[in-house]
Amino acid sequence: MRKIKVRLSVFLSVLSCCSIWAGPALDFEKAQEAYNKGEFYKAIEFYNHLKESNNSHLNLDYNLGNSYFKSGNSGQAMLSYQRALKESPNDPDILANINHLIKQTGAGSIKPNAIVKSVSILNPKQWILLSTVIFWTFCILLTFSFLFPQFNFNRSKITWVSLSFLIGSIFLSSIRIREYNSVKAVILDKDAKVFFAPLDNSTLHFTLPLANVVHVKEVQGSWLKIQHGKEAGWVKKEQCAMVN
Amino acid sequence: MKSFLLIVISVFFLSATGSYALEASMKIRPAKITINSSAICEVEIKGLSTPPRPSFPAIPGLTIRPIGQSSSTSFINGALVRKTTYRYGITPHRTGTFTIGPFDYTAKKDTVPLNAVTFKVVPISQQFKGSAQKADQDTPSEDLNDYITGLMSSSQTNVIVNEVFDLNIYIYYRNLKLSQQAELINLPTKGLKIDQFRELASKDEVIEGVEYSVRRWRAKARALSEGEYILAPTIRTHIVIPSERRSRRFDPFNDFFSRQNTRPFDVQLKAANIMVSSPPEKGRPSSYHGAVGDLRFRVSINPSQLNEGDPITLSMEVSGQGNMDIVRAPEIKASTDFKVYKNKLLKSELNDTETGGRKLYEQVIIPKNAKITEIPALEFSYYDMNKRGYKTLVQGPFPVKITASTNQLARVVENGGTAQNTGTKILGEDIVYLKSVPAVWGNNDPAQLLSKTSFWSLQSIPLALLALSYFIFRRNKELVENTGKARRLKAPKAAKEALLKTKASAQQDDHKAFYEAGWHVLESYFGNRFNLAAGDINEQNIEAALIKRNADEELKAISREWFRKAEQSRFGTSPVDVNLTEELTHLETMLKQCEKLK
Repeated sequence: MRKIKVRLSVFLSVLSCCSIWAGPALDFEKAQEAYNKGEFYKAIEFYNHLKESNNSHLNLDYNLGNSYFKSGNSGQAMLSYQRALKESPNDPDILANINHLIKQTGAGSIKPNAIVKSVSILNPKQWILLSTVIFWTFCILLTFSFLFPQFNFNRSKITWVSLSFLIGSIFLSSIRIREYNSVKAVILDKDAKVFFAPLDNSTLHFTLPLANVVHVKEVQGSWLKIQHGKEAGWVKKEQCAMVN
Repeated sequence: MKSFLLIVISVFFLSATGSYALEASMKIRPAKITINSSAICEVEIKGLSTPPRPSFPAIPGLTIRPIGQSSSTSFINGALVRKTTYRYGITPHRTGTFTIGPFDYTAKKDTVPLNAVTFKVVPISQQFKGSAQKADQDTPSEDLNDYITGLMSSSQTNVIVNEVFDLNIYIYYRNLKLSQQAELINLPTKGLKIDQFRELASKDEVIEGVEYSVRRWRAKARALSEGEYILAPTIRTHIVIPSERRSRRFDPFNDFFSRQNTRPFDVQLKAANIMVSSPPEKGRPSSYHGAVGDLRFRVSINPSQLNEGDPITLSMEVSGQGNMDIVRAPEIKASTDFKVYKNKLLKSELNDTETGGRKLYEQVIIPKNAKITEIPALEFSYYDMNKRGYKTLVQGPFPVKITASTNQLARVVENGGTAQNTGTKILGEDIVYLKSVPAVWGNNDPAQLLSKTSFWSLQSIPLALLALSYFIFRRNKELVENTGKARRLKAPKAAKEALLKTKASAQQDDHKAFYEAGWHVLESYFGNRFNLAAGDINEQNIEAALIKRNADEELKAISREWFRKAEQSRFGTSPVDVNLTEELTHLETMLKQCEKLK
């Protein structure tokens, strides 16, 4: 009887583990099914449920963006695409969809410079991993050189080459991480008003179209200081959503 | 009982049917008609349940066509008689007296005579007149074609390939009423593109003193290949048959609900001859691609100031009158200076016949370097029908200012966009489809990694290994360079083996072996400990070394004692009378105290 109880409890534990593991994938597939049937609002619900359950992946944001786009919500679509783009700035699918969205809405997006674009071939975690690998390789090579002096390792060369790679890798990682953590926002209102000061009676500076992406420079109460090209101004928080 | 009754009734009916002989008769009504109306001929057949339909030979001046049939059953003199009536519509084409029959009618091996019927067709002018007899004698024979005729004409008899021209159909008729219905038959379509004919407002026209009503149709046409085209189609009109009864008395129900009776009449149109030739080879520009008409061409670019690698959009508009359905805007060709995409039709605002309006095209090109100062000119050629010659419209070149930039801006080729050299025709644009289920969930937030203690702990492993290896390396190096220290460190280990032998000898109480092994202990230990050669190991040298290292007296005394006993035992004749266990203890004590020396 005790053996049966033990086996049953093991079986149930395995089953519960499996169900927990299969949960996000199952919801993800359900969302895709809803999308394929044209039930975009249902797909959005599934994807948002996954996000609320602390599941994150660029595919999730990308698909959510597609669902919002198909349901006609350009602002939220751009927000989701920007979140996906943050994870993989060179993903051609995300870039193509953002471009399509921009063509439809006339919104502007932030274009990364050449260095950021080059550094974006790896995501932040991959950069950190690369730096770690270089560091380990450097340490192990030196360790071998000390333990086996008979092989006549050129310790000086190992040190300079390894350190150069390591410093370079850490530098590029920092650029990528900085870009990853840069604060951006997406305009969710049509023709959002940007003022000269964070005051309701301030002078109107310019307006931004729906789904426009801007850099956030400062947060002050219910206002955000944003940078759009060379122009900066204050926009109400409620008119936009933060990408990060 | 019911079955019996059914059998009796069936037998009765069968016997009754079989008893009536085959009969056939023919009649026509009315006996006199005008040329624009029609008569109905009825053939009545008795004595057969399903008699075959009689067929008539062709009668010149008449068209006979079946229009229906009916059947009935009746008792005549106790016999069951089955009667079938076939109806035929008779439409005359000329005036005169016509006789149909007599014929022999054959059905189921029985042949019966079918009587002849005669009827008169009089001119329309005698419609509703009482004395037709007299009129027949006075009026010459008339044909229906005297009342209705038609022709097809072209706005131009000499056209060039792809030139748009008008085709007209005219139907002239008098003393007739035509229904709105009309069908065009046998219109040649090979080598021509003819749009749908649209009816124009009808009008009256006097030709040679006779007034005609004229119905007109017009269509836009275009020749697709050169050659001579003879267009002589037939138009099937529907002549309204005049109703005599209606003219006599007003019958609101009949007039309201009854349908207008018509009879078809095919009018053979007089032919239109059209000569189609190709545009002349001489002077044909390379940019000519079949456009014909009176056209205009405009191009604009946006932006004209841009960064290297940015796209430029060329907006091209072709407008005017001509073969707009096949007109296509030119495009910039791929070159070493430009990456180009195929031009796309953005908007087409053409009239119903696609012979006029405007088409808006867009082409995206990307300059490949900052040295480019202009977008090359675009040429659009067409055959000008007014001037009867080729005309080339040139737009550009367009000056551009391209800023060289190391800032490689994100250039996203629109979804589905394909470079020209692939030859793919882009039919639509949409977002890229969904991505698949992630194999591993999670994002790339570096904070998740950098905030973990385990991550930093892991990084200490290679550092610790490096430090350890460096320590080992330095130690080994020092031992190689400093032999005295190396030997000193080696001393306890070197003495260990000999000490074990000494212990074994002590247990066996073998004095000679004990001191022999003890000597080896002293030799290996002190030799290494004080870096002395094997020959220099003796009581005096060891005591000097001990003094040099400030050894206490007890140690020195043990050392002296041990050397003396060992030498006596090894080289003397009488064995030393001592307790070997105590001696071993002294030896170990001496070695331990020596280890404490500097």
